Amino acid sequence: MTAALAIRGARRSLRGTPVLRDLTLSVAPGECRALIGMNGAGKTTALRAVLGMLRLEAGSVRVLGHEARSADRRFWAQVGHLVETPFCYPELTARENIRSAAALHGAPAREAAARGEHLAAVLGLEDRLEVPARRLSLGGRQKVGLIAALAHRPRLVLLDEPTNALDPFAVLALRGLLAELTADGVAVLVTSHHLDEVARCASRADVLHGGRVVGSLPMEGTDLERAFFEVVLAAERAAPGGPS
Amino acid sequence: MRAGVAHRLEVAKLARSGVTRTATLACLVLVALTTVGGAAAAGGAPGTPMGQQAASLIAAPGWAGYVGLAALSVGITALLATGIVLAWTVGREFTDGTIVGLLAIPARPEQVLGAKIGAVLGWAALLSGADALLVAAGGVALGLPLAGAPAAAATVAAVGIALAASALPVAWAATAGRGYLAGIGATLGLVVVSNVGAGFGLGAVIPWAVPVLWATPGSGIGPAPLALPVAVAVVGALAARRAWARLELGAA
Repeated sequence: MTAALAIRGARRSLRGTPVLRDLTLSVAPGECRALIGMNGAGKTTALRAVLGMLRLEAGSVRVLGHEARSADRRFWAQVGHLVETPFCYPELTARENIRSAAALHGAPAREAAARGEHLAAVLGLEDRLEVPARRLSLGGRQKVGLIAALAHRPRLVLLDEPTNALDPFAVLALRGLLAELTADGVAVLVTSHHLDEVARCASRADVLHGGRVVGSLPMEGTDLERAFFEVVLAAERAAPGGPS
Repeated sequence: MRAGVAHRLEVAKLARSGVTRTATLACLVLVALTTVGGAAAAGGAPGTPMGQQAASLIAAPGWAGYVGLAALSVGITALLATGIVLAWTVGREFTDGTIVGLLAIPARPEQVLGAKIGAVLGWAALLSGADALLVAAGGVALGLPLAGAPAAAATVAAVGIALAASALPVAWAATAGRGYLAGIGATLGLVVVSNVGAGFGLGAVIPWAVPVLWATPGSGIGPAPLALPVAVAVVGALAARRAWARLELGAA
C-alpha cells in the first residue's frame, strides 16, 4: 500500500545546528501514528518540513504521492493540519474561520459547511459558531483550529499537540473523531509529548530524539513511559560521546 | 479561483480589523481638519496660529493652492495609514503565528501575498477616493468654483493612490522582520525620510515626496517624476513576492 506520508533521510540544520538527521518515517492510509519526543526533539520542525514550510538539505518528503515542495500544489487540498497555531483569526467568527479554511483547501462550500457543523457539534462548539473568535477561550480557539483542519475531508491529517487547552469532554470527542477518520482510511500523524494521550489515540508511536526516529513503540500492552525512556536512553548511549 | 478565495478572506479580515477602521477614521478626520479647516482658517481667521500656518502652506490662490494644501495632508496620511495597515496585514500572520494556516494549501504563498496587497491597495484606493470627495466638497463649501472640483478631486485621489502604492516595500519589511513591528518601523522610516528630504530640498528625488510636490503649485515638479513612486511600488511588491515564494518558517 502506498504511504500517505513518506519521509526518507530528511536532513535540515537551523542556525548551524542539525535539527533533522536522517529522519525516516511513514504513515499508511487508515493509520494513526504518533511522533513523540521531548522538547526540542524536532517534532515541529519535522511537521514544517512535511508541510513544505521548510526546505530539506537532503532527503525527501512525499505527501499523498507528491513531493512536498512540488510546483503542482493541488494535492494540498487533501491535507489538513494544525501546527503550532490554530487557524483562528480573532476578527472573524468561528464559523467564518472554519469556512475560510475549507475554502482555502478548495472544498465545496455547502459540503464543508455541513461537515464543519457536524464537527462543531461533536467537539461541543456548536453554540459558539457565531461568536467572534477573539471572545473564544483558548480551548474554543483550539476547537476552531481542529475543525478547520478537518472540515474539507482531508486524506492526510497532521496535528501538533491537538489536545492543547481542550476540556476533558473535547479530548474524548477528538479521540473518537480520530478513530472515525482512520476507520475511513484517513492517515493521521499526531505529535505530542503527552505519552498517556498518545497511547489512547495512536496505533503506534515513533520516538523522535535528536532529529531522528530512534525507536518505534506499539501501543498495546506497553508501559509507554518506561519504553519511551529506554529507547531515548539507548539512543543517548549509542550517540558519540554519550553516557556509557 | 484559489487566489479569489484568498482575496475574499483578506478583504474580510481587513474590513473587520480595528486597525483598518481606526486608520480610515483618522485619515478622514485629519484631512478634513487640516485641509478644509486649514483653508477656512487661512481665509476667515488669518490672524490665528492655524490660519497663519495654513496660509503659509497655500502657494497659490483658488483651487491650485487649496489642492496643494490637501495633497500635503492626504499624502502624509495615505503613506502612514497604508504602511501601518499593510504592516499589520502581512506581519500579523508571523506575529500571531497564523501564517501556518496559509501554507500547505493549494494556493501558492505568493498568491496569498498578492491577495493581501490587493486588499490593502483596494482599501487605500477607496480611502483616497473618499479623501478626494471630502476635499472637493470642502472646497466648494468654502466658495471655490464648482467647475474646478472634479480636477481637484482627481489630483488629490492620484496623490493618495500614488503614496499608498509607494508603501509596498513595507510588505517586504514585515516579511523579512517576521512581524508587524518591522513593517511599522519601515513605515515610520519612509515618513521621516520623505519629510526630512523634502525639507532639505531633495523632494524631487525622493519617491515618497514626489506626489505631494507634483500637486503643489510652483514646485516645478512635472508628471514624469511620478514614475519614481510607481517604480518603488513595483520593486517593493516584487521583493515581497520573492520573499513569500521562498518563505521558510523557523529558519530565520
